[in-house]
Amino acid sequence: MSLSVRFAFACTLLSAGCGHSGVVNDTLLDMERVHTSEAMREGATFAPQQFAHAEEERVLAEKEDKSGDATSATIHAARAIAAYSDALVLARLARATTEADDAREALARAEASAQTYTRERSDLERESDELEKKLQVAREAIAPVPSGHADPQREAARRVAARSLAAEARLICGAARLLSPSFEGLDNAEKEVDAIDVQLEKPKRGATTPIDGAARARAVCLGLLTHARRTSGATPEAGDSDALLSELSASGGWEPTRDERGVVVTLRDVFRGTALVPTASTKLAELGRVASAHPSFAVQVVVHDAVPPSPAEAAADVQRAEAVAAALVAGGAAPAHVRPEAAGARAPIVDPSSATYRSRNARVDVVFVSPRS
Amino acid sequence: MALGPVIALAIGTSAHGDERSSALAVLGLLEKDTVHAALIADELKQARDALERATRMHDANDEKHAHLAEGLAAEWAQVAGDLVRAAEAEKVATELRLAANDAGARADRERALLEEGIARQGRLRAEIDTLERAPKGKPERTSSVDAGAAMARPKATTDGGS
Repeated sequence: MSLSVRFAFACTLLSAGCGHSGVVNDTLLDMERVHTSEAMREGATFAPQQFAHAEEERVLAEKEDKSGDATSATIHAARAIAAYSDALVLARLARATTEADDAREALARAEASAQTYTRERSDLERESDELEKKLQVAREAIAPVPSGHADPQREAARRVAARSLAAEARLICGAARLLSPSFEGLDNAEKEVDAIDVQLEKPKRGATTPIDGAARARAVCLGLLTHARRTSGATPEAGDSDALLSELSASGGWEPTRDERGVVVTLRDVFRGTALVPTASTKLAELGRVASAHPSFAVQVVVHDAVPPSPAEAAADVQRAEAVAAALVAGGAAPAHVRPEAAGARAPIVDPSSATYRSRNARVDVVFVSPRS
Repeated sequence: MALGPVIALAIGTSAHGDERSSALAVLGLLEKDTVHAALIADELKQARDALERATRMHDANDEKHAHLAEGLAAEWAQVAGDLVRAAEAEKVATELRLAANDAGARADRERALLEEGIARQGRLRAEIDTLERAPKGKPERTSSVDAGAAMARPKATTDGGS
């Protein structure tokens, strides 16, 4: 009911009590207006009991009006108006209750759907994970076609390539060991590289060069290095190879490069016998300071020869590598983070058959092993 | 403070008592309802006015009309109480509708993710099928000579030994 109708009723009630018969008709008129309003249909439909009560009051109001009791007629009319108003309010209540029930059902349906979809998705993801594994197996099943026998020239070329791959495998596994000394799988991988080295150095009659095995060993070591990095717990800020490479490049004279292990600085003319020459000592001390400033990097020292070393030379190479490591430690590198290695002539950078250039293969690589990919 | 349920109870229990007392009981409760004060202010005023009018009629020994006016006060008190119940029911309906909309959006999102998952699974199956159908016959040679020939004729190559 509108405020104006109520206000009119209030005036009417006050006046009726004072005996002004003319205003009774106004209250009855208000009552009639409310009774015949469009909105009352809703009240009659949704609140039939209250509507019936309003109708009773309306009949009483008309009866009292006819009998001449203006005050009773006015009050009954006002009661009818209040009852009609209540019927409308109860209709609102009924509508809201219906809407709430509908919304509750919709909510239950939507939640059930969401749960079903979530459950189906979970099952699907589990199946997809299985399929991923199956796919991985299928991919691995399609391994490269094994290399067969070749003519002697090609076998010789393969031996050089296989030695290089095996040497790289050993160095990459060594880098992984620097990051995680007891990382699972490293022992087996290094044994595999040892076995390949034996096959390369003492080939059995009629046996093919183990080039595929060398390539696989290198891939395994690379995989282990990647895993060791993931589990090393290095923060994104630590071990930034780009930053170290920029720093070394900017400082001049180092000409650093990058490979899978990290940042590589190559030095030449480092030794006289097994001792360091003074210029090399100075450079290594400086690199030791760099290592100290970047403690998250481990340092791999690799001594390479121009020609395959004799057993005595190989032993001397080990001493040379240790001398380089000691110089780095003296410069500030952490002893536990420095690993000396001797690669012999297995990892050349220029054609070792060239008498003119093969001396370039004699070198020392100082590798700053990055703790993250 | 919302007193909807209490008011509904009061209206129900006071229906059998005398109308003045029941009107006063319900009004007493409704006037404490600060949450719906603005909503029911007009109805409460109508009820209070009717009670005042009834009091004056009692004072004038007009008991018949006083009783009718007290009934009118009870009617308005009931309208106010029902208004509170309707408002609370509408609020509940609105909240449920919003919750249903949210749940519907969640269901749509889950369905979209499920469809993505189905598509991913389809791609995986297709890739596995492709790999499994790949020829598995004897591998092609990577060398131009077989082992026996290589041993017998070491320099006889057709690819230059590269």
